[in-house]
Order: sequence, then structure tokens, then C-alpha cells
Amino acid sequence: MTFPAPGRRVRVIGAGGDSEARIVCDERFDAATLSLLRQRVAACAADAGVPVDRAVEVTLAVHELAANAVRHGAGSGRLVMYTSEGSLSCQVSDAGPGAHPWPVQEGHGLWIVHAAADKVTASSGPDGSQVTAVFGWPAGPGRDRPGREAT
Amino acid sequence: MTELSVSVSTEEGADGTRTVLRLVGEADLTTRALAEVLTAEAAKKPRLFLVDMSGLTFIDSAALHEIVRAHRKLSADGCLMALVSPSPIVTRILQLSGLDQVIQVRASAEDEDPR
Repeated sequence: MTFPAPGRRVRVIGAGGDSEARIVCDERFDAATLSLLRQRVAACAADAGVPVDRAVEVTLAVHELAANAVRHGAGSGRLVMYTSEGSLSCQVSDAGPGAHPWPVQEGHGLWIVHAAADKVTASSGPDGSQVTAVFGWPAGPGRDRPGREAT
Repeated sequence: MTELSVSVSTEEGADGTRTVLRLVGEADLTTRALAEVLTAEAAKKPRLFLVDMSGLTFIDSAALHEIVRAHRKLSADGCLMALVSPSPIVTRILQLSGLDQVIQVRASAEDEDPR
């Protein structure tokens, strides 16, 4: 398992213009490290201020995406999580074509991801597949919940 | 990795067999034991098949799918399956997947059988 440079910042270009995001997790995974990945996601979500109940949903959704990359994609992949404006984005990608375009073919697992996340975007091509799931959470002190957006 | 431990106990009653499958640890797509034991025990057509989830800390859609398959087989044979005392985390996963609407969830193994 790799560990991120703490607090590394990236620019995110979104519909509302550029915003700054803070990377809270950058991990590579394969079938043997899915359990470790779940532990890491839960810890990173807690560090990012995600409430416990919501962190359970984040962990489940990221696991399902990573499991798809392992089972249907390249067999291994990378997870990057970043926080921006009170939301947590989880980007799961694999390098190289797998047997199936895993973010596109709907299965039970992806259904759970859509149920858990506020927004899910996916792309798939010869260079690999990538899914980003965005999670908001109920407003707490000094924090606003981003609105649900249609994909 | 908290490997999944699967244990089975059976009780013979006047009105048939009661099977309790106890899951401890994490169940995901890498767990082979779950599908094998579910298939083998469901094939014995117990009157009541309880899946004790009190020691289960995580379950993913692949493992849930194996439970759904066993539930379908048991229902077709006129047998009853119920999930018993899931933790708050597993309860949330059952809600998100909608499985709690398909398979009965009980607070304890001693709950009354629904008639």
C-alpha cells in the first residue's frame, strides 16, 4: 500500500469554475488488498470530516468500484480521494482494458454505488476505466451539504 | 484481512431441521467459503435457515448475491431463510442494497417464526 503526501492539493475544474481540492487518500489496490483498502477509506473519510454513518456508505461504494476493477477490469487499480467544498470525491481507475467495460455494465454493485453517492460519473476506453463518486453529508457546524445533482 | 469464518449448526425439531449459519469477519468477492457452504446447506432443505450476522463486520454485493441465490433456492423448496442480528454497518448495507425488503431480518435467533 502506498500513502499520500499529506495534504497535497490539486486544482479541480468543475461546472462552478476552478476550486481547490485536498487529496486525502491515494492508494493502489488489487484482489489481495481490498480489505486493507476498506480500512484505509474508512480512516480517510473520518479524517476528512465525514460522519460515521456516511463513511460506511463511502466505504461500501468505493469497495464495489474497486471490486469491479479487480474482477472485470485490469485486476488492479488506483483510488484517489479528495475533499472540496464540503464534499468527498472518490476516483477509482484501472490501467488497461479488462474483459468488460466495468463502469458501464450495470450490475448489483454499481446499483449500490448509485444509491450511496450523490453523483457518479464514469468513462471507459482502451486505456482503462475510471469512475468518480461524489459524497456530500448532512450539514454540520460550518459545513453545507452540496445539493444532489443528476448525472 | 479479517478472513470470514463460517460455521454451521443444525437442530432437529418435531417440525423439521433448523440450520444456523454463523458468519464472523468480512465477506466479499474474495470469500470462497460462503458460496460453498450456502449451496451445500440450502440443498438439505431445512425448515428454517438462519444466517447469524452478529459477528459480520462487512459484506459486499458479491457476497450478498450468494445469499440471495440461497434464499431463492430455499424459497422454491418451501423453506424459510432469515438474517439474524446484523451490526449497524451491515444493517445499513442491507438497506442500501434493498435486501432487507427481500429477506426477513430478525433481531435474534429466538424470534418467533412468522406464520
